[in-house]
Amino acid sequence: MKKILLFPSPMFKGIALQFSTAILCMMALVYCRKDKPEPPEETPVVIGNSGGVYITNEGNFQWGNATVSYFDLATGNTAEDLFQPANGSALGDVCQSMSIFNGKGYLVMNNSNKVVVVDPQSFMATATITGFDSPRYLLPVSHSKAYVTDFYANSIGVVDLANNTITGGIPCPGATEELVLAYGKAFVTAPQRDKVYVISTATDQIIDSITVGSGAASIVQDTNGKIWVLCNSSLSRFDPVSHLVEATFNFPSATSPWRLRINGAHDMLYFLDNGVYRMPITATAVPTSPFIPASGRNFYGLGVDPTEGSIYVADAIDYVQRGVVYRYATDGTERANFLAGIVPGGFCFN
Amino acid sequence: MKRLLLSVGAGCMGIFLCGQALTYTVQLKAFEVIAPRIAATLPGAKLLVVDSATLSRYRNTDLGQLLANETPVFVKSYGLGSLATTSFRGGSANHTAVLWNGFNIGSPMNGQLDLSLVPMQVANSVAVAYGSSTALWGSGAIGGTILLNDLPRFNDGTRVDACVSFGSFGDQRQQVRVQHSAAIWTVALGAFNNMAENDFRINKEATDGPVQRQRNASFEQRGLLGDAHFRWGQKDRIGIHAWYQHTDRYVPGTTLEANSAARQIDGSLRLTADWQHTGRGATTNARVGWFHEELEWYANEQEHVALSLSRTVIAELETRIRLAKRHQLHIGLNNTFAHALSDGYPQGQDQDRSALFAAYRYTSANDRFKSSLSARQELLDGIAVPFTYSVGADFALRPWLLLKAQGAKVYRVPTFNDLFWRPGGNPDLRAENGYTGDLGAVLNVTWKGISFRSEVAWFERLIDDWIQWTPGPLYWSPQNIMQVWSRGVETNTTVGFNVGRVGVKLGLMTNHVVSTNQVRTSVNDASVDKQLIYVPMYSGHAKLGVTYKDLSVTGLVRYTGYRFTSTDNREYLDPFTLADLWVAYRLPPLKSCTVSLQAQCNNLFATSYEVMLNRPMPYRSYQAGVSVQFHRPQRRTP
Repeated sequence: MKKILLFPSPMFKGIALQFSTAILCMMALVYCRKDKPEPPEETPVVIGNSGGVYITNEGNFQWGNATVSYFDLATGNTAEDLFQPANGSALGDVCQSMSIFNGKGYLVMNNSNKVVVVDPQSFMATATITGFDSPRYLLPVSHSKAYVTDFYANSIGVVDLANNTITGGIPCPGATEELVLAYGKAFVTAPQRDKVYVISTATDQIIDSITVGSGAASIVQDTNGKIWVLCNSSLSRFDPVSHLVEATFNFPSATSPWRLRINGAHDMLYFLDNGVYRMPITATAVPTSPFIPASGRNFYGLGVDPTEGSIYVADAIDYVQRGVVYRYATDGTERANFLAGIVPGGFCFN
Repeated sequence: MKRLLLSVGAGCMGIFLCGQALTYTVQLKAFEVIAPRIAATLPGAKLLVVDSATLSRYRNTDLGQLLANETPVFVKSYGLGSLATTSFRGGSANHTAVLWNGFNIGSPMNGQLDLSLVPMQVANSVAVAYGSSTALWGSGAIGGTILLNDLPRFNDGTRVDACVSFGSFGDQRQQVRVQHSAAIWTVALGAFNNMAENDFRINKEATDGPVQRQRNASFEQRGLLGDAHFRWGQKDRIGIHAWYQHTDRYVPGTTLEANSAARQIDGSLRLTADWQHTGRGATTNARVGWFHEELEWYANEQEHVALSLSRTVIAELETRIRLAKRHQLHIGLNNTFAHALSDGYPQGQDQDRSALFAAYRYTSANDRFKSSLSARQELLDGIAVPFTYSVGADFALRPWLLLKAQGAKVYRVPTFNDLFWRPGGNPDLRAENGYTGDLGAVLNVTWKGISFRSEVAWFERLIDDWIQWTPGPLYWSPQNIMQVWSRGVETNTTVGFNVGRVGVKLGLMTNHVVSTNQVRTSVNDASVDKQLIYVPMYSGHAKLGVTYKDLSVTGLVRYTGYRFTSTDNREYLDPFTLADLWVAYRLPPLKSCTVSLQAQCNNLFATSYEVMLNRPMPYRSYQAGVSVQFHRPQRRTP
């Protein structure tokens, strides 16, 4: 059989061999890429009394990567995470909210089923309150007692703040979300029941419920003492004494307002609906154009500084990378922006 | 003879051989049973055949463990017995196709397969095809394809294989397989029962506090396997396969969750039938598969069950025509009909996919050059998805040096969840599509009894319209928004030699994969040019196997580099190195009976590591087993 030669000469063969070896070596050089991540460059932040804001970063559900960031007003420096460096351990799974009371910080860890008590300056954990189901928000209702709402427990946890233990529960059907204290009563949103539950803080019992729109989740009190509740497609105002709904504002369809907040003077409402909207408490209709447009950003968290008035908005981007927090002046001009943790959702002002 | 030797070599040594050795043939009296489409695996493609010795080491585990240890596939394992999905060459879990006897067994709902639900009892042959073969296998075979086959053996007589093993954390497994194989028919039945508590220690002794154990991670799995084959004449064979399985397991939370009581029950029944006719100029196969899968999920004992269910019918007809001595044409028609329902589409949804594929193969007169051209056109519910094709070649530059090249267009159709999930599902999604290219070289030298084999491969892949669920104004929705560029260099080197009566085998495998997002999806997106999450840039293993008479000892050290857990590559998991050790001893045969003992130690140095964020993995663990093989060869009929 006649042999078919693919290469006419041995020399050609040698060249081809050398050529392919060279190609392989080049590939190896070109494609080697450093995988070790650079440690972040950060100016250490000392939390003092000069004012600042804690940002609770939810992290991803079941990833356990929740963090708390801090923005220092005086220096403009930020700390990406306060908890891990101070305690040497991870904070937990989904940090839903933070409250400061009696010089202690309370971090509600939704999917870690606990509340972590920290020193707000050092961020060292001083206690852990365990035994929750799916805790969401904590509201101190007296010097030594707090309520913790819960998404799955069908009950609101009653916590003894002196011993950091759960002392009881207030049965209530469905999930409970944000809550506010007024006239010795706690007003608790129940998004699955179109209700706001009214709880006597003296007896820890539901004494009434106020029917609002579906999906009530955020709640604030204005300067006149009236209480505002934001639902899926409506905003209601009711009287905390008579429990009567005084006004209801409906949103156009295809909108999804959420995260109702109020300023320090308690006369301007803020909420998210893609962009940031604001509405004076005296307004007769809901705003139709945003105060701060989203412009391609994924606004997820909103906070208003009660003392100096800045508006903080968090862009969660794709939920799987560090979010960007914007700080705006009351006229809507951007003052600063900085990186927080993954899924920045809540703000707690120092 | 040379051809037969090569086939045997591929089976026993796990050596990758090109071209002719790609046929997993069981040759008996000129009748060969050909594994679906492997015979047509194209020149230029890289294939890793897991050798039988390696397979036997993993017979008491699942596919996830085998792939993680022995192949370049990165297995995203959520813990012992828990969900395990793949990332191959920088792709996502639904970019790896898993084929059982030629049928894609990935879920039509999410396009993935949980590898922890594939016990190694279900296949007697495992191979990993690198890179794209969508032109052959259809949607999803982008990063690579895992080929599981359970091939029949005719004329093999009566065999009974039984195996019992016990391991750490309440792990116990029993399996039995009975086969009778005559000249023209075979019947085999198998059963397995696997269970484990998986209550391994999650904090290290040296560190602080009392023992903490993994909770809510127990696992129970039972299954039945059966196959029967019949042939008549020298030309025809029919076969059926059945695989029933029930898995009941509890799903542990992360280390940062106080309690998890989740439970998941997976049930599946897979039935297939095939007919093969070997004519003078062509071999034709007709196959049909019916697959039923259901999953029940309980968040806790009180919570209502979330049920998802799918049924898939796959029918396929393919023929390999020998056009001329060196020219072969392969034509096939595939229809896949899937019906599925879940919480996101409780009324159920259907999907119908039809595909026509063809491959042409040319082998040069001196066998040194092989090339192929293949193409596939698929219709998804009557609408054409991108036309795909591939071209590849093998060229033996020297007897000891083989060069390979391949280029292909690839695609992946959206899954049921992508299309139909309410809310969010996007019926307007396009198929992901892109291009891949591979170059490789294989060096194969035997010198003074030392066999040396080294393979280097370089791949490039660019996928457009990569589907990603993204936040919208009201809910998350999948969009064709990402563009992902994956590239890398892989090496695999084995050395084998004998020192007196001691056989030594060394292996070194390295993988370097860079897989980055190329487009910004929103204004602040910092993920551009960043590595995809959970894709290790560097990984590899080193292996040493020593055999002396009936004793074999194998050690494996495996490295997995940094894996990012945030798309901006800010958050990451530390690299880890694990060492495993196996010892197997075969007792002297007693009449027709062979007894083998096997013991293994995983994570020999009790390394603390996480594959997935905050999902604990066990420190050192042990497993020991006994297997009994009874074999009475088939009596020769006069």
